[in-house]
Amino acid sequence: MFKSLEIHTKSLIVFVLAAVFLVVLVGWLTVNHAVNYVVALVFFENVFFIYFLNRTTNKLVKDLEKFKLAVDNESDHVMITNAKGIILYVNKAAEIITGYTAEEAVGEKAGKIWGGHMSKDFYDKMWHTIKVEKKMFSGEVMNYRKNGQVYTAEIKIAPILGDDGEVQFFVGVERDITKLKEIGQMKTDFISFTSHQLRTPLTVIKWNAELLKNEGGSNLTSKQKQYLTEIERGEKRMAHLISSLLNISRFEASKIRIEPKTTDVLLLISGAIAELAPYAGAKNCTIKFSKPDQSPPLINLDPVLFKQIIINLLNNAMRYSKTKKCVVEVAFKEVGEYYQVDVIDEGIGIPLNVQGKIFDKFFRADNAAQFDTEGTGLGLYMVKLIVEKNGGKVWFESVEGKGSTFHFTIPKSGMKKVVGEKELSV
Amino acid sequence: MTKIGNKILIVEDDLDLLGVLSKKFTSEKFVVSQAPDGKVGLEEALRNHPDIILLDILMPVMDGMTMLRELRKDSWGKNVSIILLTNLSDEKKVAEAMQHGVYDYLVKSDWNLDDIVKKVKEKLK
Repeated sequence: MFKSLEIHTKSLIVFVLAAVFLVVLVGWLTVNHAVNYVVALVFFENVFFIYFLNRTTNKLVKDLEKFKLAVDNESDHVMITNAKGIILYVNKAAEIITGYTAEEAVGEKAGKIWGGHMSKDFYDKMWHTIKVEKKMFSGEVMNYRKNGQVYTAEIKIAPILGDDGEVQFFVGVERDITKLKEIGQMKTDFISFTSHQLRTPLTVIKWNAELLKNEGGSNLTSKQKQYLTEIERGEKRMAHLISSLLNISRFEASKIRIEPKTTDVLLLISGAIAELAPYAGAKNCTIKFSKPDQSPPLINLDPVLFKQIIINLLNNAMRYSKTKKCVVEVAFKEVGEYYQVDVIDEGIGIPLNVQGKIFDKFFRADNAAQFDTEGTGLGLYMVKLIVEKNGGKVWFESVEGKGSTFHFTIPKSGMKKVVGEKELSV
Repeated sequence: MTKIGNKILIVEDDLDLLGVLSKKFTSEKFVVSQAPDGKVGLEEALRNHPDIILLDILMPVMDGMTMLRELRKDSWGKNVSIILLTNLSDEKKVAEAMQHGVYDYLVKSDWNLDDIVKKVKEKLK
């Protein structure tokens, strides 16, 4: 503010002087009639020079003001300090976020007012980066507002170097991410709330149904036994839905660990098929497994995740096949740098107009929802999450009424280890 | 040795779960005592010396891990059989429990009552 006023005053004085001079010159020419055109021309030239210089200066000042206006009104906290870290400027957002006015902040060090609450290591590293390496530093800090409230900020500090390569200023931009952090925490809390609070009553239902089934024994009519079976089925569906939701939130938050082990992949697929035998039996389905002529070498796979892909695809293949015509085939082959698994069914197929949405979370095609009411719309989404997380691809071909073929690939190099907090809940 | 009248202590804060577990073990001829949190559970265990304890981890007042640590300080409590009940497989807690000589834990929602009874009986053999 002070600086721009100074520039204004200077240019005004110059302009006034030039104008006075012009008036005097014209007066002198009128009075003397002795015309010295050369002298006049030189003076005029000077006047014009001064006039244009003034215009340029004004334009610069205006540009500067535009920048200042932009920085002043930027929603992130912007601060400029000298090479020693003494604050020269803070914008409005900094005043709002920290609670300190520009007057209170200018002349101080950030560490003496809102900052200074991180470890010594943190600040050592920060100063080393910006002062010695002269590079931009970014990090997350806990600061305190003037009212004592703690807030989390994402900071970026860049050194501004002079022609001599020495630091002239530091420009710090901070974003208050307290709300964002809170939302992230709320999501995590919600997930653990869901798992804990929803599962408990479900277990109560499950165990009481079991108790009733055992103790009721022969006293129950076949209808009553049927009701109990329905209760148990509902409980299982709900439990499955909760685990699916948990898995997906954890996957999306990259909290699922991937632990590859050297695995006989054909054995793993056979195991998944065997696990689904009861469902296949109930639906009167046959599952064929077409193995390659030569067994592939052992592959680094997370067996739980890989099996989950196979199970989800096979479950869909059987679920959306007619009971009398349920033949499902699983094929394993090598394609270039990948292993490819195909799951082929002769089921109801996917209508062309919704084929683009089939991997979307919660999406179910109308024909699928009509055919079987129990799907969650999460199975294929989960498949896609797992496959893509592991460097593979998943796609399909389908003709409504004829059947679908789903393919997925996994790199021959196998899955990469990911350190996460949770394993897949199955 | 499984005998008629084996004493079991069930420590579980969810009263519905506590109820159904108690009913099941009573019908299996166990002498059941119950506790809704770790503090009551600890007092009950030290007073009654049950043959086996089913212990929930997440509880108000005193959680299962604290009760476990306190129990292991007692000359009788340091050897008593304990099966941990959890809602989710919480590996950190399970690892800690292992250090306190608990080798059995089960995720409640994964298990049938019959399987829990079977597991308890195996433990008492």
